[in-house]
Amino acid sequence: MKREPNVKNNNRTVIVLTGIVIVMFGFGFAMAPLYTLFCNLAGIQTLGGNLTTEKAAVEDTSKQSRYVIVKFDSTITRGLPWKFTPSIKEIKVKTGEPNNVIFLAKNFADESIIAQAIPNLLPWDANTYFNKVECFCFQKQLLEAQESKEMLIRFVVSTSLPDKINSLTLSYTVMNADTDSMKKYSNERQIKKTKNYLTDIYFKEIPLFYSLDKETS
Amino acid sequence: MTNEAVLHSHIEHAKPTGWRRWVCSTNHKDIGTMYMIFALIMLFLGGASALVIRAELFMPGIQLTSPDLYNSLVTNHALIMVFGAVMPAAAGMANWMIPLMIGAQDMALPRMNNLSFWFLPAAAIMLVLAFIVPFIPGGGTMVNTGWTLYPPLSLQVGMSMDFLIFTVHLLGISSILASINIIVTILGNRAPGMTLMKMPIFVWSWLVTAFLLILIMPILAGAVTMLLFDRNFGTSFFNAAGGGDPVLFQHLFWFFGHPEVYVLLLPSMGIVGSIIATFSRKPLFGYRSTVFSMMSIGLIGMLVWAHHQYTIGMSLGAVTYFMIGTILISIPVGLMIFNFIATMWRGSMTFETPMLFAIGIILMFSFGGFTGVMVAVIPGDIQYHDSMFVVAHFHYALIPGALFGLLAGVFYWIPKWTGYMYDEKLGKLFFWTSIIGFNLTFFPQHFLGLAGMPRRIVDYNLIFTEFNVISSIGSFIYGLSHLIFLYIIIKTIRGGKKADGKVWEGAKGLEWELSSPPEFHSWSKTPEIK
Repeated sequence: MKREPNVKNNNRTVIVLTGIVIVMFGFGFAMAPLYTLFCNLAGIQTLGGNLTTEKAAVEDTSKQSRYVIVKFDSTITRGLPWKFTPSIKEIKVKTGEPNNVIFLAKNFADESIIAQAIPNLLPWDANTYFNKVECFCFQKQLLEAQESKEMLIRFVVSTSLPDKINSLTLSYTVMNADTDSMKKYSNERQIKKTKNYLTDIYFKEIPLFYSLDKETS
Repeated sequence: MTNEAVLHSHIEHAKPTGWRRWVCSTNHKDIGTMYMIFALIMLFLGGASALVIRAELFMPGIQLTSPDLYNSLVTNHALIMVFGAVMPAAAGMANWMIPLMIGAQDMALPRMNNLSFWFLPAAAIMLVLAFIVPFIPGGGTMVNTGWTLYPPLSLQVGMSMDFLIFTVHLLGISSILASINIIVTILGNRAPGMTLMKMPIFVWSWLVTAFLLILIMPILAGAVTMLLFDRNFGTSFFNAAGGGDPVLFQHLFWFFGHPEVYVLLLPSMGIVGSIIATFSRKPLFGYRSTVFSMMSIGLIGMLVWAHHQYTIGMSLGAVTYFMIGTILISIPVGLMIFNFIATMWRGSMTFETPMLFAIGIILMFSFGGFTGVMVAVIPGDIQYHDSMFVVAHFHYALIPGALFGLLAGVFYWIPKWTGYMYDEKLGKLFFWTSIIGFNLTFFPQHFLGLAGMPRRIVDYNLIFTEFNVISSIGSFIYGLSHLIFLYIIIKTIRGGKKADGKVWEGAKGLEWELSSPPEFHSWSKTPEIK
């Protein structure tokens, strides 16, 4: 007996399978917007996340308010000849009240560089209770050659922060926003050549505790 | 000309000769052979890079390589072994055996079959270029990311990363085409009477594998395409400074990467299943449950990718889900292993080389599975993450689970392919040297990892010296034992004891009803299965 395979059926199978391949390829790309959406829903920090107005964030502290500790941390990624540090390591803040903290930035390159700071807050459960009224991380920041600058974050920790959380850590990763410039400074020798990179006197003179300005409250 | 006329003319035309026979081949046997020769070359390339790695780790300090070169070798070793050696070898066996096993004249799409093979040498050249280009002045930095290609590092590597991205594209296209071909062949070209549940277990394992491949390969292709865009066209899929998220790449990569483990594993398990049945002279115990466990391995395997990323900072709920899902996979895998053991139970077993490998696989792969459960548990994994323990774990899972299965398949089917018996004594010698070498290489790495030695680092602390020395010595025994394998293959191809059609006494199935080697166009008279 001689039986030919059913070519028509096979062609249909090929078309269906090719369809699956194309759909899965598209699914990979669809993940990019879907992932951002998911992060927003899950309260994972993204650019522009946690932005609120001062009016919405500030709460009546007469009824329930307590003190929590907010710690600050910063990291500079490869390819950015900046120094970027919080002016204080940690502060004790009252929930429901606005607070200002200054981050100090300096560009060591001989040209202007644009950078972007990416926030990350731990523990994750605290994300929805941490409201930023103003933050340097919402925009790209430009520093001219050798320029130093104070950058402000103004935030309110919500009074409804769960009781188990007594301490928050806000960490910023700062990266070069321009790919070409990043590649240029990625070369470590380039960074070392940039003068005074690690031993700038500016940062040695930072007082451990920067006076918090409360004039707006 | 109608399709049928094309088929007829294809079947009846004379056997081509010379270089055209290979380059323009549409014959499943020739293409299968080419796949396997390609895989063998890649096995030696990947093995050579592994031996350089182990030679570097023989002593603390940096002797042979540089940190960048070391990581470049690690990347190459992984990519060559996964995409160059194991997958093409499995695809080659699928090409050779599936049409014989299901009574089909050839693969359903012979010309596409040719195309999917010839993508591979192109991909291999791109891969070698990605390795060589940084040595040329102005060639940028080396691919030091490991096979995972995680950004942001992969965004900073020089042009060699672009070569690597195109390599992945070519490999992806190749295996997608091969998978489509295999599925169409299995679904459409079975002999009358060969129902799905009568198919040999090897065919089933490839049907599941091929479906996995067409589901996951496009995801990897998409992910590396985004990487390419980020690198060259200023998009920000993974570039955090532009609003992207590097973690997204990890999710996409492991959505591909975890099922990929089962892509490597399942064909070998199909081979092991058929070998154990043959040499125990019993039908496979629990055929149905083996088929369903393969399907559920594929299905659950697609849903647990993030257990490779426990340390990225997921919520407790998410990691718990991934942990439970991962541990769940051990149930179908265990079921499959128990079926194999039950097949041996009270069988009249003989211990030829393929059977020795199959039994070795059951023992050592189970061990790799157990350490797999260890690394699936979150609190443990936070400790084991990125340590040599993980290296030991996945080599215990993949070398027995994938490579030994394929070697067993070579010994099992090479009399069918060449028409000659291999040298049993040499086969056993190869088995024992490679088993001893393998265990000597990777067993000490468990201890190294638990003691805190990180992976992907060129240098290590003095306290790790002893176990690294043992591991390196073992790796050289293991690596060089493959020269015996090469010798056996060459010797078998050149001649030896003639093999009859039914090579093994206990062998059952359509492929053993044909002569050894089969005619160039086999099953021109379609068999009927009762």
